[in-house]
Amino acid sequence: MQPTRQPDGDEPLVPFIVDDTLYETRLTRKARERRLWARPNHKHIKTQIPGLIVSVLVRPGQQVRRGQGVIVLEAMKMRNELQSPYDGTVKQVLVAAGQTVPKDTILIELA
Amino acid sequence: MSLGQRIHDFLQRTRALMKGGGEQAVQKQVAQGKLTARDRVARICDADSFHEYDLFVEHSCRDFGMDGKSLPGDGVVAGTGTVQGFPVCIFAQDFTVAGGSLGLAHARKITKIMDHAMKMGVPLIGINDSGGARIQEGVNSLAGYGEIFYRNTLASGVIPQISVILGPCAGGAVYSPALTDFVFVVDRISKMFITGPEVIKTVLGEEISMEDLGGARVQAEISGNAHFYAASEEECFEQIKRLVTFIPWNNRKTSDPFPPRPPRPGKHIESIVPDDPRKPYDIRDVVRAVCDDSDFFEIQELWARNIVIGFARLDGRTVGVVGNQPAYLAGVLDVDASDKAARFIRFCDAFNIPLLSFVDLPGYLPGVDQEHAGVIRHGAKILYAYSEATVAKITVIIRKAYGGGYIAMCSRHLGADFVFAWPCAEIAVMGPEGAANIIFRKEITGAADPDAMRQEKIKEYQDKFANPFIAARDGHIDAVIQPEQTRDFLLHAIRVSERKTEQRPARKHGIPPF
Repeated sequence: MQPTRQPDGDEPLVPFIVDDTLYETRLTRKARERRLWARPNHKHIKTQIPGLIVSVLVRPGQQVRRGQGVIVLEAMKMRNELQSPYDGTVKQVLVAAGQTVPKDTILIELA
Repeated sequence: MSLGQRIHDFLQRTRALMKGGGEQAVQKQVAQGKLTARDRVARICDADSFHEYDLFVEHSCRDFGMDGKSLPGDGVVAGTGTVQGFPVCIFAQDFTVAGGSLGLAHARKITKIMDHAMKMGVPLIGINDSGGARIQEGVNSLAGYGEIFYRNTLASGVIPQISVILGPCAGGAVYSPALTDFVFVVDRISKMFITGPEVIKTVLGEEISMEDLGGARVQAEISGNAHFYAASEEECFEQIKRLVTFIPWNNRKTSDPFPPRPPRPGKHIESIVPDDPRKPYDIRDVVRAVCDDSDFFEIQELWARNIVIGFARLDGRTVGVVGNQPAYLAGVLDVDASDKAARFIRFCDAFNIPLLSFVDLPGYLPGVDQEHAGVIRHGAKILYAYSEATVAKITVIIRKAYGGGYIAMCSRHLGADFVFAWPCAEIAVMGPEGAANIIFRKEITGAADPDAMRQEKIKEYQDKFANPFIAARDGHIDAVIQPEQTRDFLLHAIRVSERKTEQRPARKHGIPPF
């Protein structure tokens, strides 16, 4: 059996800044795996939940209106119509019907 | 039939039921490295102390071919016993009987022993090893879970509730442990999740193993659902036996005193803490240097390591220790640390266990993820828990006590009864670097040599504020003490506060920021 409990203090000491002060400390596993925040791109229509693309309702170059359905995503036994967040033009469609997509996948990019 | 024949008949029936799910099922259980339900109960309880009840209980399900099926004990063993001489009510789900599935009769055995624990005022220990709801029983099975959760909630803060996860505990079933005070898990045996890997794969397309999703290590290190992590069932039972000695039977009692013992000779207390407040050390070394027998029983050792919680004894009496841990994340408070400490503080307050807090933190953790995860709401829990607590509250400020972190860590302002500070304590709004950059921004940016000016101003601030004397001048702390006097002051504080009472206005209950 491999050891499962890490001995204390075997992680390296790293610099850590709080209020302009540099501390020497260790990171917890969660802190090590922490992802940096990225500014959301409002031109991207993304999945909020993993699922199956049932149909794509628009094609590149097409004008869409705010609230217009662009993709039907089946997730949690529901068919969800994803809508355009504002009036615009479809720049590209990055998925096709029949495809299973994870959470946070960019489906459509608006111009 | 003569009495002798009746006894013979009774023994025969008992023997049949004691076999649980039968030889094959037991072999399967053992092959997985698991003990049987009765073995587990027997090993947790003192030798020959376990008395089993409701052995002859049977289900009354008539659907899906269940009417012909007899399930020994309906898949759960329940009774009373003693652990280290302390009386307990205990139940253990028996996976060898229909996968430990929970039907109404099974649940009613559990709720009966829970009611008994409440009436007797003794701790409840529940061993979970179950495939989940007995689907054949339909809504009756759900009713059973609901009745258990209801009692877990009513018993909360009245009797200590201990959950031991020794097998799967999935779906709705996880909410009983979640409502209890201490959850024990064992590597490779415990599995807890709301939706299992199969469902996650079909519905979400994400592939993950049971171990990575809800194994013991994950629950102990990532989710914080578990309080104690063990490598084997044996180790887990030892942890349970230790825990029981630190806590009282119920909320009307105090923990049993132990013979007072001095700390063991070890590191000199002054040598533990580095002079430079930016350097790390292990706060547990300070705890061990002051508590009886240097015996510190840590809880949630792997999760939110930037705060340390656990039980120790002073003068033979149990205290609940909360300490910032400079060895991890410089000891900051964050979402998880606040959650961890707040729940522990409330346990101690509910069960008459004095609180001993060690302070050394730079404040709350900065970051988008923390703000978005609700560090305001979660951070407020620790303020709430300390303010609400009416047990004796003793605080030792070791080094840094900055800003909101200073207030949160059981400061005088939240009702601490005793606040002591070491001479190296720095009680201020923030660290010298940050403060100098704000207060002297103009002087620094306008100087010919900004760096030299910054250093000068940092020094100026340090000399003026990086000490305990301003807080002492204004009565925010009671005494500046030498590190080696710490134990004496703590023992004295514990003795003085033994009969502390504090009255609060009547209310149905407070509304903590859950």
